[in-house]
Parts: sequence; structure tokens; C-alpha cells
Amino acid sequence: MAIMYALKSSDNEIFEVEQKVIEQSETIKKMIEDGAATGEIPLQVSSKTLAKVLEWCKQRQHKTVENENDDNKGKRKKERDEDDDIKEWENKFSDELKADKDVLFDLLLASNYLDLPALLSFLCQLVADMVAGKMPEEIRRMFNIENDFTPEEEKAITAEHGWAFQP
Amino acid sequence: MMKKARLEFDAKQDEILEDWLSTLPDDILVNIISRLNLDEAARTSVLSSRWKYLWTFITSLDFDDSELLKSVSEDTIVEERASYINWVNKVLELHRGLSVNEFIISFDLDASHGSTITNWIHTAISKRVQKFELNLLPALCWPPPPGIYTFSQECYDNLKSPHGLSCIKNLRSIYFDTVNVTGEILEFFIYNCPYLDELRVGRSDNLLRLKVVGSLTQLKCLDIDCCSNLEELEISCSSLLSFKYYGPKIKYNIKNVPRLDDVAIGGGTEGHGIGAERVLGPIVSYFPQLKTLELHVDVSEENIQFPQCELPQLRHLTFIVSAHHCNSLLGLTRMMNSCPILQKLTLKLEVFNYCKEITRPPFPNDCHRHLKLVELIGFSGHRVELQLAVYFFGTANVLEEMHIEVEPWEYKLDANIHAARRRAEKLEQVLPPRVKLVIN
Repeated sequence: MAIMYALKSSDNEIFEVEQKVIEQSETIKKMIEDGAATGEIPLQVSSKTLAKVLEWCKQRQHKTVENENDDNKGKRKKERDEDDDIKEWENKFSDELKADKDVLFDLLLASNYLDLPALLSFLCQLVADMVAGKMPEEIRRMFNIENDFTPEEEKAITAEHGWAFQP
Repeated sequence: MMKKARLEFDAKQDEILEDWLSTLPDDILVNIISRLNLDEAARTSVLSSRWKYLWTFITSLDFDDSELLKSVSEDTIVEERASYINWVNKVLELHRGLSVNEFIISFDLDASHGSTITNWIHTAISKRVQKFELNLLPALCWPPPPGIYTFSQECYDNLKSPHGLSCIKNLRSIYFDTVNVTGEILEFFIYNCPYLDELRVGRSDNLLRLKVVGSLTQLKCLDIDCCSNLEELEISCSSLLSFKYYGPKIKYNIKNVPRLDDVAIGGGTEGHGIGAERVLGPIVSYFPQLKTLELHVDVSEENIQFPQCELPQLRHLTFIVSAHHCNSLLGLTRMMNSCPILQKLTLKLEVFNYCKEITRPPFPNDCHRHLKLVELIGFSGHRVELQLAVYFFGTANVLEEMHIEVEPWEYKLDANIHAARRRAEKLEQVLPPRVKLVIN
């Protein structure tokens, strides 16, 4: 019987989760080890975001368990199929986040706060891929970044990094 | 009523239009920017005042401009070198981060740029680099006329100081190419960097002897490539997983490598490939534990003598096939009979000239029971290659895929590539129904 923990979101929703799934979060793991996690574990994360976090953790957990149980025989094809499945799942996960940038933003903060390095790294790569190859004006538009430089200041910075602005 | 709904809708739009990205903590933004290339990273400085200095804390300093080298000529190289050096120096001048995950130099530079390169090494070390690459492979002529850059005594002395020693503690991966570095310096890294798990060295004239011995090292991958003056190599390293050697014939002594399962061996005419006058040396005694093996083979030599061996664990066998003339590749399949569970075979073909007459050595009873994937790289479409492909259709009864990369090794003319592709496509006519043919 798996050990279950109850996580409480900032808007008071309870999520019942297996210990193995949630221990991927170094923050929660530490809370459990310190004995601070009796009863409900209160988290500064909204229920919508927490659901997404758990979706990620369960997928990761699934992946690690299957790899451990794998015997060597016939592993290649299985591994390949499995990698394809994970890729497909991750693509779907990314597409949802790209479409709803608010969730992406909340999830970035949550992965940082919960200390989930794999999720943080995945999300940072996702944002980096969105920015890559774009010129500053496009990036500003994509993320509504307000240019607070005077034209003179902007010109000076561009000149200082001249090598980076060459076509 | 309509108006109110409209207002609410606008408010929601405003919310979405918020600049949330800039409100993220610095370390997350630096994490994101570190995943961009250096130009993209530096361009974020102009987004807004919030972003002006963030990029100067990036943890990846990747100065790999080797792509550019493909298009340089004698006329432009001097200017390109000056511009590369300026670029690296400018970025390093602006960079403020105290530690970096990677520091990569990859460009055509030589001994005449010695003091600049030495400064870069100092910077990389003082930023507590984890992955350090210094690849100075020349684009136009070998060896570079002013000589190969030599890892300076000054650098070595600096490493040995207490400060230097504390800075290299995080090193995990080192790659030197076209850098004269001695065995003594490499051993210094091996024995003083507790997390060092990868060491790759190419084209060092000063590497004469190397000893990787003892329980202090955690080294997992060792790769030595074209070090023409190397005489002796001694390895006794229980953590080692992967060993690659390409170069002249040397005296080597390998023992206590219980985890070694990935090996690549090859060399010039006097080297360690397979063929007349060549030996694999003590590696053969580790054949029973190998999962992947790559061998350089010269098939134009008479009598390719494969060692008497068993490779009961081998999953992936690669032959890098060179030949001045070649009338059949089927001889290579002899060694596969020693590999009962082989799943993947890769052939990289570097053949100058195929013979007009091809021979047909009869191997009708061969059966490769586990072979699922065959890759033919450098395919030119000659009958010798087609014969080999057809051989696998007949003998590998669980074959799932054949990958063909069309790229004639010697004459990369469009017409040749086109002809090779057409010949590869003809294989469809004799393809067993279960096999998928992928042509790239």
C-alpha cells in the first residue's frame, strides 16, 4: 500500500498524492523528512497550477518506474516506443502551456518554489525556444515587455553589443 | 448590459497582456537566457532596463564558431580570426557571472595567439567551469604554420596554486583538440578533479605517456584521437565505461576496467585497426563484456583477420571501412557470427574505389537472428554496397529497418548523390515486406 499525502493548494483544495510522486519535489521531501508534514501540507500554489505540477510528476514517476523494471531483452524497441510516448506527451504539455501563458508563468514559479529541477529546466527551455531567433521587438511584443529606454539609451546599448545585432 | 460584458472582456485582455516574464526572479531569467546562443542572449539586454544586465550572468559561454570555418579561405581567415578573438574578449569583458557550466572555444587558432588563449583558460578556470572545451582545429592547413598552441607552463602553475586547485574542483568534462598538452598535465586534471568523468584529447604532439590508474579517479569516458607521438598508455580504472582510441600503434596496458562496455579502436597504417599487421591488443580480453564496439577496418588489405573472439553482450557493432580498392564487403559479416545478440550494425564507408569485378563469397548459411537495424553511411550505390544490403535482406530474419545515408565519400557532386539515391531506391524492389527502408 503506497503512502499517501494530502497537499493543500493556496485556494484550499486538497490533492491526495502518493509519496513517491511528490517526493520529486525537494521542498516537500524536506518537509516530510523534517516531520513538518503531518496531516495536510499547505502549499503556496493555486489548485489549477498544482494540478499541472502533479500531472508532470506522475508522468515522470511513470517513466522512472518503467525503466527500473525493464529487463535487457527487447529493451531497444520498448525504449524507443517509450521515448516516442514521452515526446508526444511533452509536446502536448508544451502546446497547452504556450497557448496559456498565465499557466506557464505560474508553473515556472511553482517549479522553482517546489524545487523540481527537471520541470524548471523543461519550462526554461520552452521559453528559450519561444525567444530563440527573434529580434528584440518581436520578443517585446510576444511577452508585452515595455521598452523603458529612451531612443538614445537603446542606441547606446545596441552599439555596445554590436556583434550580437549583426545579421 | 452589453457594455458591461464588453468592459469585463477588456479587463481580462489587459490581464493577459501583463508582462509577467519580466517579473520572474533573476535566476529563472538567467536560466532561460543561458539556453540561447550568445548573440540571442546579448540581444536581450535591449528589451528593457530589467533585462539590461541579466545576460551577463549566463552560465553557458559557448564560443563555438566552427560552422563559419567551412566557408573561410586564405584571403579571409586572418580577418575572421581577429573578429573571433574580439568577440570572445568582448563577451568575457562584459560577463559578470562567477561560475559557468560550460566554456567552449572552437575556432582555427594557433601558437601565434598563445597569450590570448592562455588568458581564456585562466578565465574559464577562475569561473569554476564544469565543462571545458578548447578546440583549435585548423580549417585550411595542417599543421598550422606557426605551430600548435601549447598549454602553457604559466597555466599549469596557476592550476597548482591553492586557488587554482579549488577552482577546478567542479570540472566534469575536458576536451582539448589541437592543443599540445602533456601527459603530466592531463594526469594532474585526472587526479585533482574529483568529479571529472570525461576526458577527450585530440592532436597533442606533447602527449607521450598517459597513466589513468587508481581509485581516486571517477573517469567514465576516455577518448584519445590522433596523438602522433603517444608511446604508452596505462589504464586501470574501475569507473571507466567508454574508451576510444584512434592513432598510431602504441604500447598499452589495460586492466581492472570491469564496467567498460563501449570501445572504439582505429588508426593509420601502423595503427590499431583490424587487418594485416594490426592488433587490437589487450582490448580483446574485454570483448566478452562489451555492448558497443567500433572498429576501423581497411578492407583493401589482403586477409582481414578478425581476432578469434566471442562478443556475447554486443548490441551495436560499427565498422568504419576504408579501402583503396574493394571487391566485396561481405567479409565484414564474418565477425558478426561471434555476436549472438547483435541488434544494430553501422557501416561508415570511406572507399576510394570499388573494383569492377565483385566477388561473391558464399555465406548462404549465415543467420543474424537479432539484427533489427542496419545503417549504411556514405552510400554511393555501387554494386558492392547493394550486394551487402541484399545479403542482410536474406540473412537477418527480424530486420526492421535499413537506414541509408546517401553521400558518396570521394566525389560529393550533385549528380553522384542523385545517382546513388536512385540506386538506393531500387532496393525497394527486393525489400522483404517487414523491412522499412529509410533513405537520407
